Order: sequence, then structure tokens, then C-alpha cells
Amino acid sequence: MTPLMLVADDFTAPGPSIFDFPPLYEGAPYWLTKPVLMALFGALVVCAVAWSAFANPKLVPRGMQNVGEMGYQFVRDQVARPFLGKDAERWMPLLLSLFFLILLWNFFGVVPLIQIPVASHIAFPVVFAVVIYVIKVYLGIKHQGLGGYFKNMMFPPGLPKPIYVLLAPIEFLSNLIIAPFTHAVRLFANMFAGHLILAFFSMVGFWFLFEKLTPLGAGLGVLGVIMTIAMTGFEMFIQFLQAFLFTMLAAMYIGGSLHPDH
Amino acid sequence: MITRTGQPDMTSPHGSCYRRAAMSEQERRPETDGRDFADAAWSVPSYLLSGILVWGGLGWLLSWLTGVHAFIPIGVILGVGLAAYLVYLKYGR
Repeated sequence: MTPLMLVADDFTAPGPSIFDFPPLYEGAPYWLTKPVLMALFGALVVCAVAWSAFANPKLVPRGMQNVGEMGYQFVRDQVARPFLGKDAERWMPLLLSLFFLILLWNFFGVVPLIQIPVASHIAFPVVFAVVIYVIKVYLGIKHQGLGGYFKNMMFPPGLPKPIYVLLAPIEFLSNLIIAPFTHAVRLFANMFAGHLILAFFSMVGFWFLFEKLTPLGAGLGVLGVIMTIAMTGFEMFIQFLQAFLFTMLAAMYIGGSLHPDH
Repeated sequence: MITRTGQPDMTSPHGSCYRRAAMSEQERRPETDGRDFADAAWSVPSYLLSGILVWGGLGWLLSWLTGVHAFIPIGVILGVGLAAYLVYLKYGR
């Protein structure tokens, strides 16, 4: 243990400060940082991809249209239809853009030189979650009426009255506060932690193989590089999964407001 | 007795387990199956957390008013129990 610790004595693991970025250039507004730039870039890429895939559709799809239709089918069959049924097509524009934008933002975490998952700044997933939340409550009140919405939400039928006193506050808190909160935090925390893990292992590799190369530390450095590669693969899986989950939950909330009957 | 594969049932004297499996698969509607399952799976943590917050919070309030600290764990446990009961009511019945 001792030689290792001697080698490692000034190794500092990357912390939350790796998410802090200075303004892009001298005199730029303080909010104009790399994640903001990447968020805009991602939105533009999604627009460009959607445009090239769907602007001029052919009966026999080729090239970008093929890719776009595969993505569309995936979101429609796996996300929209199970939760929205016959309303699925109406909500596809929202769900498709949401899925592709989040997927791309997440994927930025492993793209060389970009290497920042946009959603690792909680403000970005919060905006999405708030949008979905507003849609959810609006649709719920529109389709079930103001009283009906809260009644369906808080009072599942067929229970003795005193039980409602115990359960209704839980339903209220769960549906209107905890659910949107976890909706945003789930995406944020996964991206934040994933980026931190990648940064840590690549830092281990860089430090022990380049900064302070010693016979004992070299093995650790190699392990760091191997782990970086392995975790990058794992992280790509998580990035996809979280984009899918966020969109799926959005569809679930919308579907729940449209059809309360279950 | 005919099994799910269409072969005569040789393994079970009554064949009931095979028929039962085939029936329950028919009863299940595949188009809503995923929705119900996902609904339950993603609502459970949210309900448990809410139960703890509502009833644990009430317990905290009571302990603050009366000075009896036991109200906090009582509230938390009550909240978890009620949330679990709520999940059972909505998805387990």
C-alpha cells in the first residue's frame, strides 16, 4: 500500500468543478459557456437531420430518410403507442424531437473534444420536465375537468372514505411534485455521474502513464485506460437508456392525463 | 387434453397447468400490458418517497410541537406502509 500511496499523493480526483466552464471568449456574457453552445448546436443538428430526412420524403426511403424513419418507428412503437394508443401520432412531433435532442445531448458526453453531456447541467432537463409537466396538468384539466382531474388523481374509486384521508396527500405529492422532480433529476444525475466516472478513469490513466510514470503506477494507469474504454461503452448505453426513459415517461404522463381510466 | 404446442398432453394427469397458462396469456392484452407495467414500475418510487415525505413530515411536525421524537419514525413507517398499500390498490388488485 505504502509505495502506491506515495505515488498517488498528489493525484486529485476530478470533482464537480469539471462541470464549470468559463464564458466562451473574453467579454462574452457569463451564461454563454460550452454547454450552452453545445445545447444550441445539438438543437441545430436535430433540426438539420429532421429536415434532410423528412422534408422531401420518397416512397422508397434512401439515406437520411431511412435513418429518420427508423428513429421515428422506434419512438412510435416503443414510446408513443404503448402509452398513447390511437393518440400516438398526434404526439410524435414532440416525443420525436425530445428523444433525438436528449439522445444527442447525452451523446455529446463521449464525442471527442465536445465531451460534455449537456444534461449534466440540471437546468436543461428541468426545462424539459417543466414543459412536460405543464402539458400534463393542462391536458388533465382539459380532458377530465378541474375537479375531475384531481378527483381521478387523488381518489382511486372503491375505498372507504377514511382511507382517502390517508392516501390522497400521497397521491397529490407523488403526482404533482415528486414525479416531475424525479423526471428531471433522473436524467441529470445519470449524466452527471457518468461524466464524473469517465473523467475519473481517464484522469487515472493520464496521471499514472504520463504525468507521474513509475513502475508501480504504470499498472494502475493501464487499468485506468481499460476502465475508461469500458465505461465509455457502458456510458453510451446509459445515454441511450436515459433519453428513452425521459421520453417514455413524458408519453406516460401525457397518456395518463388523456386517459385516466386505469 | 391439448397443450399449447398442439400436442396431446402426456406430462400432466389433468393438464390444468398448461390450459391455465394458455388462458392467462389470452386474457392479457399485449397493447396495454407494457403501459400498466411501466406505469407501476415508475410510480412506485415516487409513491414511496411521497408517503415518507407526507407522513414523515407530519410526524416531524408533531414531534416539533410536542417534543416527542418518536413521532418522526412512526410517521415515516406509516408513510411507507400507506404508500405500499396505495401501490397495491392501484396496480396489484
